[in-house]
Amino acid sequence: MARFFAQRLVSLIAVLVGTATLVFLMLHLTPGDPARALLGNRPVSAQAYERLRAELGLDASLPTQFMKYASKLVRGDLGTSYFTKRPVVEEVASRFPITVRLMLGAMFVALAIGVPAGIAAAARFGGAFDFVVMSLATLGVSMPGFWVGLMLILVFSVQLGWLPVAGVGGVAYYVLPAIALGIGSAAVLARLTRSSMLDVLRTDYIRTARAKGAWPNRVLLGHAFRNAFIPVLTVIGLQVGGLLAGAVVIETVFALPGLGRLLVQGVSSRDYPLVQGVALIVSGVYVLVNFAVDLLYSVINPRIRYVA
Amino acid sequence: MQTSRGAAGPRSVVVRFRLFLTLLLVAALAGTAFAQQRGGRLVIGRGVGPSILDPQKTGESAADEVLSLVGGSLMVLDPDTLAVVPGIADSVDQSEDGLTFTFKLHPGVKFHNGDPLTAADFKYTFERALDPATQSTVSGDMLAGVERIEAPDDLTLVIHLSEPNAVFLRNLTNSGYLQPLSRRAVEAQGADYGREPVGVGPYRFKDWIVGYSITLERNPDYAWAPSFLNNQGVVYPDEIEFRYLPEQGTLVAALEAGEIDFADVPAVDLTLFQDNPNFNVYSSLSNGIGLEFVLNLADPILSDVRVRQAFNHAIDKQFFIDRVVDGHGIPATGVLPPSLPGYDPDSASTTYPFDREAAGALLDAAGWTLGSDGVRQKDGQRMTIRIVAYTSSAMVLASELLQNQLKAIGVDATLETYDRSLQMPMVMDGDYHIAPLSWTYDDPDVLYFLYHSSQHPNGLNLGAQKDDDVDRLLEAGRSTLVDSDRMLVYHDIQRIMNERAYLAPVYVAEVFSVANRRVNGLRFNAFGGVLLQEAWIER
Repeated sequence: MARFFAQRLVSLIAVLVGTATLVFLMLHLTPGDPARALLGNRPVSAQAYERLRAELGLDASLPTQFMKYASKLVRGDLGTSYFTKRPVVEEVASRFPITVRLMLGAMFVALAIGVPAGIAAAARFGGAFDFVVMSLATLGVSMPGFWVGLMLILVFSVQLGWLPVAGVGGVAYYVLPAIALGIGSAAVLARLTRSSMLDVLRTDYIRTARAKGAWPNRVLLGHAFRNAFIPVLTVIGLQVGGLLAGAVVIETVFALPGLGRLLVQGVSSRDYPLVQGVALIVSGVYVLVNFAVDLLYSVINPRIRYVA
Repeated sequence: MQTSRGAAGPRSVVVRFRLFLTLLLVAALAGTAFAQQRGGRLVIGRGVGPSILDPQKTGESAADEVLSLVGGSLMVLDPDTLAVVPGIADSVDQSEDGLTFTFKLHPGVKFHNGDPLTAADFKYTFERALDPATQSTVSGDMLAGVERIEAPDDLTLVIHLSEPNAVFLRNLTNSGYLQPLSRRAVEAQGADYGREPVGVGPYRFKDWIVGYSITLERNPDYAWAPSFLNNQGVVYPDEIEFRYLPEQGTLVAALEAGEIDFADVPAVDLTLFQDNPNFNVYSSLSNGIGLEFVLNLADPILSDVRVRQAFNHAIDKQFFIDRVVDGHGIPATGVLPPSLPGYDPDSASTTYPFDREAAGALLDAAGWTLGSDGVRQKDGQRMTIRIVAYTSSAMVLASELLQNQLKAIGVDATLETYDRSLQMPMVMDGDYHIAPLSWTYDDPDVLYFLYHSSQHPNGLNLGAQKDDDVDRLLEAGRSTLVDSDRMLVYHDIQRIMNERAYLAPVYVAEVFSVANRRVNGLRFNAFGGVLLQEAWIER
């Protein structure tokens, strides 16, 4: 187990070093210019632009800039945003809770709708209910999140006035964004849970359980689902990446000032330190979530053990 | 007796009730028509919020807008005449050589932290903007040419320039970027100053949910509004909230739902509000060119004036207006919009009417003749033009229309679209033939940044224009201190630039703001910018 942890730690560091280098190169080698963006839309002189580039150190060579960045990074310093003039860590820390709340909400929507729907569809395989669930799942996967978001706003906020249009505040502000973000994942989980359940339901031990006269629901939830949930769990871990990507769009539609919006703003204004910092932290979180998923396997099925 | 009283009773109650209703109605009418109500919160919806509220470290218009309510300025722009008149300064004297300005400050002006505003604060503020260590963006550039600043006493500020500058006072009207800073606040708050600005304006900073909203509250001490405003003192609403909704659909929905009170709305969404009694729609002509095609003059094809003239002739401006901004605009006749001082009313006579035959004849004369495939050729080279646009729906649509209109005169035009953060550097590097852009100006001096040869490379002279006549005139525009003479300089610039077809101006758009009916007292300046000093909320 200790070796397993050590191995995961090494891979985490490798991912972070790789991300840092890749994001640095991608930002610096593609066209785009933080100094131009900093000057805004108001026409200013070429001299102001040249001065600002020099002051930001952008006129130095690429290797020099990279060495400066790397030497700060190893000391744990993610740098200071060009735009807000505040440490990147603080910027991320202030936005992170909003994105976490949104993602937890979306995950709740995905699990609460997707898993029961998948189980029920599997239990009534081939029937009308199965057909309806699978059709809705196809629809759910195909609808773009931003469109779902705008439709939810029009119906529940503008027409019915039940929920706020957008913004930050209590739980009410997260309901529509969580649904808009989670609905796609719910559809994926419903399809996956169904097919995984169908595989397990055809196995011998289920037939044995049924032959012994176990209650159908106990067979379904107690025996079948426990094993069927393993592949679903893997996908849930991977969905975190998808949800993070989706959060970028949903946060824009619902004006939630989360990490996704911060990243979009950073990319479009070429705020190098900010984008590099957010990318590092997000990839770190992603690796950690999937690590947690690996550990959960052994909780669900004690026969799964970890060897390096 | 009893009976009659009994009969009269209900009738007199009815009469009294009617009288009461009438009085109530009169009171209500008086309330709405005559008395501004205090209190309430005005919520303004905008797209993207600012990153920082230190006026010297930002170039974002979102920051400028918030800061202009938090701060004040030495000079102000009269919204009706566009004349530059004293603001926080009671008077200004300019030396005969035009190099020295002496301002007498209005006494009794106080910062939000209670400190009195003195000339030393202005000296500190402007020197900070000019200090390279500040990494100032716009404010330092607006003060370019300032040589020395003195504060001989608390209410006297003397600024020396290195050369005469006709736009210097105009720049000082900016209460966002060039507002006075409280040295005590800046030094005490350090890097946090950008999160909690302290100014002298009608509103003081209250709260900022970064990425979502900024709330300002009324400054109870405010008594130094510009003379042209009816409300000289404290503003009416308790608070103003700027709410940032980056998705346009969400912004419009929030306006419809009454969650925000005021927002700018694109022409395509106007139908939702135009005939709706719950909203008032305000419109004005934009203070800039809503759509122009920048031509890369360094390119061999476009360096020929006949080709540029032909392209101008090929453009059906009215068609662009109808399709891109739903008919809400007027054809542009040159580099300046009619809303700006210096606009040449005769520029229409030097601009190019839509005339494909004339375009074809000019291209023929330039040696570009129609090939068998319908595309013009010269010395074996096909006339292929790259349009490089940024991904806004209006700019992409405009580029597609241009593509078609150029095809009609035998030009093979291709369209590439990029995120704005990519398109701008590409255009700055000259990696394009034609780029659609829009600009807003507040003074014709902006043309110096856009067309003077010293502003290329690294500047906004994106077409790489190098014309000694225009250069000389642009320099004269900056140094001519007599306003009427100065405006004639800009007339010449418009005429020459039209004749030499250095760009293809298309339209000046109308811009629209929508306000909830409960918002009263909104005023707009000649540029369509909203003035909030007299605004009040009906409750």
